[in-house]
Amino acid sequence: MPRFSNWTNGVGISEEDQNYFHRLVNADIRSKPGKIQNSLALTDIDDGGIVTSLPTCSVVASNGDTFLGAGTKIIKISSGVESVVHTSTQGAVLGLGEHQGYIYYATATKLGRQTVSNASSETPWSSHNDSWATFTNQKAYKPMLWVNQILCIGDGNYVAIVDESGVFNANALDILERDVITSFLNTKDRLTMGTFVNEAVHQARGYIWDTYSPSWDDSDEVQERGVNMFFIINGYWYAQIGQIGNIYQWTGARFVLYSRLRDGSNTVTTGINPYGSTTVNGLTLVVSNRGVHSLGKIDGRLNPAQVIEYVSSAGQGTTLGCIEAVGSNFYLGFNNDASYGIDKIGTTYAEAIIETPVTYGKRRQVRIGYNSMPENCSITARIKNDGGSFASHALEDDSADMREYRSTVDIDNKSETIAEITLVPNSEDQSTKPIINYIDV
Amino acid sequence: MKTLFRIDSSGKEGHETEAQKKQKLKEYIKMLKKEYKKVTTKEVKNPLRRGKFVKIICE
Repeated sequence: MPRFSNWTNGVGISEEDQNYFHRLVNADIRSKPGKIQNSLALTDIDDGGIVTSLPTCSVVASNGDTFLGAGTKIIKISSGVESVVHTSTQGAVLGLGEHQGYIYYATATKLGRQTVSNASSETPWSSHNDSWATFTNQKAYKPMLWVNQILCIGDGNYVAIVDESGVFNANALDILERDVITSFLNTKDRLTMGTFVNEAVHQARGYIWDTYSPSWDDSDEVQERGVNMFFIINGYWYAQIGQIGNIYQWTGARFVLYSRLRDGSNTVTTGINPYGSTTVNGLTLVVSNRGVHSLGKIDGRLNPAQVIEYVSSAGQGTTLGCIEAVGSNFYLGFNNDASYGIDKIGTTYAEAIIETPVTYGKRRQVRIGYNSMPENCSITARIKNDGGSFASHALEDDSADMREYRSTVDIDNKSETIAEITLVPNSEDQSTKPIINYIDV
Repeated sequence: MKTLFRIDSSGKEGHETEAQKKQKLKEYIKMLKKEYKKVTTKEVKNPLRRGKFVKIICE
């Protein structure tokens, strides 16, 4: 009876990977290392329905207020309360950043700005300038990042900047003509850029530039469809590149394949989303169509692990936009059909799903050992035998002598079994959750 | 509006040449002229950012 309890390893490369799990959703593997429990559920703060496009860019200003760009709207979140503070007259807001006391916002053609204090105090804004500067190339991606005392903005194959004197420079650096800059990363005061050509071309490039020389310092290329975003995991630089969730380490000179975002047998789809990652208390969060993946480790002696730590309030399969850490929480833009919103971490627990690797041989029973099973919490199971489909599998709580949930019926497989275990939080108010430590199959 | 536009070339493979940049600058100024009444340009050197720039003043 194999025992699966290497929770800190997270998700493996396939269902055959016995030291990992095939699928972990809404799973918190790091709060109590060695055990697993439910993550908190995300909740939509957009109860007023003011979000009518996918929020794709965000900035937390130096005064603590958060600003998100959603279509032409700029939405302010102050003390958890959202309001539309501005509607751009220059088209969709594609990038946001702060520099020298101003909130800068980029559309395809124009760079607008507003002082940080007025951005917070004026509703709606009246002292802003929607067309403070004009871009040269007018492309659809406008990543914005403050690096080495200047604000860098991607404009096609140009890097536009607002320099240390507050002067706009439409062309501070140019890269290969057909490259379109999609994403930025601050790499120790040097600017790393990721690029995209178009939806047909499998050529994603990375450039690193000191921010003042006439040309870039180094570059590399990956044969995938564009750099979607950059992020840092435990001090190392990474890029999420292409359509299927691949993650590459960026050394500053080379892209080296590292891992892939995974959700069991479900297809993970990724696209350009320069504001699609953030870090909360040192844990890196990256979005895909399957949810918010957490990547990293909590101790230098562990390997970096990945799980889907949070799922949008609109469910898996939702298009996710920007994610921005604020305090110990984050704001996450989402769109599911006609429904748009901004999620944050709530106070109730979500149902955690754990899929074990495949086990080979005749199996009889599933057992789940728990450390904590508060009132109204429970564990349910589904079993997939011999390459078939998942089917419900009855469990009973043996709290009398084992602190275990176990099968009440025989698994009855021929040679293969995968167990899918669901940790169900308090059925009354989702305020408490089970904590488990092993699954025996 | 005041804008700088880099016109030098580092000569790295694929980098735009000075002639190409001047052509792009011409197109950029054409675009700005549609928005502003008066657009004046002056070649300058920027010690902080290294290289040759054109300063564009739009009124």
